[in-house]
Amino acid sequence: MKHTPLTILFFLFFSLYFGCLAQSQDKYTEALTIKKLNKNKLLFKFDFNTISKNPNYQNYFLFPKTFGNLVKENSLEYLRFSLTQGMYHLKYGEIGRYSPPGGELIATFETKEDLESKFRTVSRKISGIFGTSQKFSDLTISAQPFYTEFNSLESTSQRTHYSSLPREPVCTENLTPWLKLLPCRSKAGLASLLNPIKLYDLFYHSMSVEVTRSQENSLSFHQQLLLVVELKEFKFSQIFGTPLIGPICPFSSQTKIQIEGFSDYSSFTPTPEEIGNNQVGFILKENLNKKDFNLHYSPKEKTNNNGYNHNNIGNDNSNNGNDNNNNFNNNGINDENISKNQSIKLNRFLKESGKIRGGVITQITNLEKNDLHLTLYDSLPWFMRVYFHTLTIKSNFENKEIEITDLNLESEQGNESNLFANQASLLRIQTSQDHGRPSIFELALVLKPGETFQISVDYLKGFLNFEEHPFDGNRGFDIAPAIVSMHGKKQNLKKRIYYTDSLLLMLPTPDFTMPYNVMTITTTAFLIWYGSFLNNLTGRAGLKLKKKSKAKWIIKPDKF
Amino acid sequence: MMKKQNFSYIFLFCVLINLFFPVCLSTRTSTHNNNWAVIVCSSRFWFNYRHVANALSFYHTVKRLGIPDSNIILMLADDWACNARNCFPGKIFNNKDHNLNLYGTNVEIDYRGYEVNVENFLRLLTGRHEPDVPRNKRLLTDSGSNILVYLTGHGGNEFLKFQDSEEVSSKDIADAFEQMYQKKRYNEILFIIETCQANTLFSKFYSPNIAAIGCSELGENSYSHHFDSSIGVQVIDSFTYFSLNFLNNIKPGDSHTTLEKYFNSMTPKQIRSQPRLEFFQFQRNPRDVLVSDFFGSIHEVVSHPINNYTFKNDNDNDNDNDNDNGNANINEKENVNNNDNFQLKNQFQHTEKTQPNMEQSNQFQPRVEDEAIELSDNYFRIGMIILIFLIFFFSIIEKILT
Repeated sequence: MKHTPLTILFFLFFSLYFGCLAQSQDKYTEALTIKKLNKNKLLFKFDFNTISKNPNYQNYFLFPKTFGNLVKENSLEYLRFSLTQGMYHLKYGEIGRYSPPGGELIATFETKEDLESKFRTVSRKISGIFGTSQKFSDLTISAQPFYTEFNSLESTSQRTHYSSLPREPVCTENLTPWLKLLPCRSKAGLASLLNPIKLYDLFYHSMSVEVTRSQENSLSFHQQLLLVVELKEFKFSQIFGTPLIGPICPFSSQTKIQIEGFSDYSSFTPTPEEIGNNQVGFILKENLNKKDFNLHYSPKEKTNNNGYNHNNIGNDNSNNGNDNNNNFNNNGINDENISKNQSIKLNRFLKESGKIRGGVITQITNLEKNDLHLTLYDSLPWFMRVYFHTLTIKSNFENKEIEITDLNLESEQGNESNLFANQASLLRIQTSQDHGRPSIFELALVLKPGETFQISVDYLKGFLNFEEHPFDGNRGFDIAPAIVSMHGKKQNLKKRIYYTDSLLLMLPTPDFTMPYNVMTITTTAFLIWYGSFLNNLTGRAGLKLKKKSKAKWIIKPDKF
Repeated sequence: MMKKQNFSYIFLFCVLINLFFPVCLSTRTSTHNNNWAVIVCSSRFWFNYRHVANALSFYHTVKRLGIPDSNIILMLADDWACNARNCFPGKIFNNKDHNLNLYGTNVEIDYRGYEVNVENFLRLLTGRHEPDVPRNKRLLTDSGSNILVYLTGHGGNEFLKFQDSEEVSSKDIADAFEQMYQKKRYNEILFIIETCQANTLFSKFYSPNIAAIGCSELGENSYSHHFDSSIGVQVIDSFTYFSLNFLNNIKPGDSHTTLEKYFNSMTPKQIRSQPRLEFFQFQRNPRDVLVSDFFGSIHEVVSHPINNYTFKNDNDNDNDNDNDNGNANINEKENVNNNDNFQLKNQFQHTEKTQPNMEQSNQFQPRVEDEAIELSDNYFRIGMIILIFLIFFFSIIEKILT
């Protein structure tokens, strides 16, 4: 017997008691969304939401105490922290908010004053909670995006601090503190599926924590785990290593599994049902009717490849970005590589020749049928010495460059109509300081349907001090991704945040290898000694007659 | 008559005392009241996999014997478990049989990546941190703490390499220990170093109450034990391999295994280098120093097995690429599939000694020391009672005879 009657009674009692309590204080829901993406990918999105109305910051029930204290002591309005392994490409499909690779920390404070020291305190506490490195508060990396809207709060400009570490190692020990923030930990509910070792064998996974304090004085704590798996048919026990065993978390007011994007719901066992709001899935009751819940999906049309395989490249029928003429510049739109409901296509790369200079190129393509209003935020570290006079924007619709209107709205808070009046406006420039703050530029762009903008800026590489080189400097330096944020109030589009690729920049590094240095120094010293020794020994004494009178005895070396 | 009466009262008094109070004294001579451990893997890059396996092996040994995570500072200089070159994501093995996943989910790493450098190491030892360094990164020891310091990596004559680019010298470490002595930050230190020419690293110690074990002399290299072809690198060093052979036989609360016995269990022929155990101004008799003075905890503990999470492998997981031999299902439920090899096997199948089953430590066990005390107390009590009866018996005989 898996669950004795006593355990059932215990959990029933718990759920009754805490159910009553939960309704009056904190509300907690769990949800799992299974969505079919392109290129044989599947998305599993775990959402754990805790909402606390009128929190008194002293007694905490389901809302985690560490974050409540963090919000209160640092006067935070919004905080988002994510740890991600892998890179999410938009060609897989639209999944809402995702995270860039590595670690990312966004914090919005109530006031503008003293942002850097407040951010430093917050980032140190967060890195202590999750066991990450303390580099989020490094001033050479972190900066403030003025015009990117990370959340639905109003006018957060100049109060937000952002820091992104693409190189942050994410491993199994980072999931453990994240799981401990859940009310039922990983013992009950949907989180009991999460086995760290299985998660780290997947294509992409990202765990994030988001705290929002709304104006009506309610705190919401949202934990999200995104998993992207490359499978055609799946079972819970195959992906997670275990089926979903009861009980459901008694604190949760609703535990649901939602299924989207599949064409044939009959291939699922058990069969999903309608759960309201045009959603299809399951609402899980306690104890799961005394049976393990092992969702199994096997599509009826089976191709040659069954189950879990890594060799999907050949079966995609995609040309990897070029048509048969090997023409790379085909207006940025290649039908094989975009999904049906993809809004934009992003690309970012370095153009370099040699170790001295280079350029960053960002390409944005509008795949929607309407105009898009976007803001681009790009922050490049100081050792890429950006020359802003080389900032140019080209469009595939016009022959000449797009003129960039200089708005420079740093001092005032412009409203939407001012920002997007022109095709391309420069909202803000921050020049870098050596060994200090990064260079930042923010642009407001209006893209017509099908238009591609190519934004390029040139830089010269700077020299790092010897102590500033990381220990594996030969690998290169990771540059944080640029953030493209969609402002959609007019067109009724959602506000969305997209991330470009992160870059790897090779700087000329000194050779750190000890044997090499030892060999060069010793051989040089030896050569100097030996060479002069040999020269002195084998030189011949001879007369050198000068035009003037005296002859001098000079030792002349033999020519080697 | 009065003499006999007094005699009997005295003996009755002794019997009563012996029945209620323990008589035997503990064999432990240590003076510490808490235990800490600092475990450092100082090398970076994939080919130094064996160093992190060494460090994690000692980490798990120390945890099993009772030191909690809050008292362990673990410094790993790179990320091997989730490295792109690791064929077994999330797993680190110290044996080519892959019996035990050292990384699991119960590992708490305090310093990782670029934070493992000479400056942070010396700041950790001396306690001179910046104000906002969190608690888990501090060595919060006091004058009653016994500290185990274990360093592994690449080294040479009087230096240890950090991250393949920095070095800490023996004089630096000696000075750090002297600062700790002056600030009363330790009771005794056991310093174990496993690098090439390791013994030179403690040649400059001048503070009292330090015991040091090094695995190779000046001019000697320290060798790895064996190669794992599925991972592609050496997975463990000889010194750690034979240390674990010995330490796996020690239970929590062990009170009779001395440090000397541990040291003598490794012969130079086995590890192919000359180890050395040295005591610097040790207050107690060095022969009384126990392994559990440093490796275990003075408090009674319930030790948990290494793989703490529970999950069930489905029976038909044909598509599963993983070799899940190392995971134990501790909470015994039905549907345990014996083919999936749930029990933690003996860690080293090369030795002939029998290893203790790790699952035994799941339940609370009384300390071995207490058992010994109880046993000897019982002997003494029985002996005293027999003596009393003999005396009464002879007094009765005397009465009869007279």
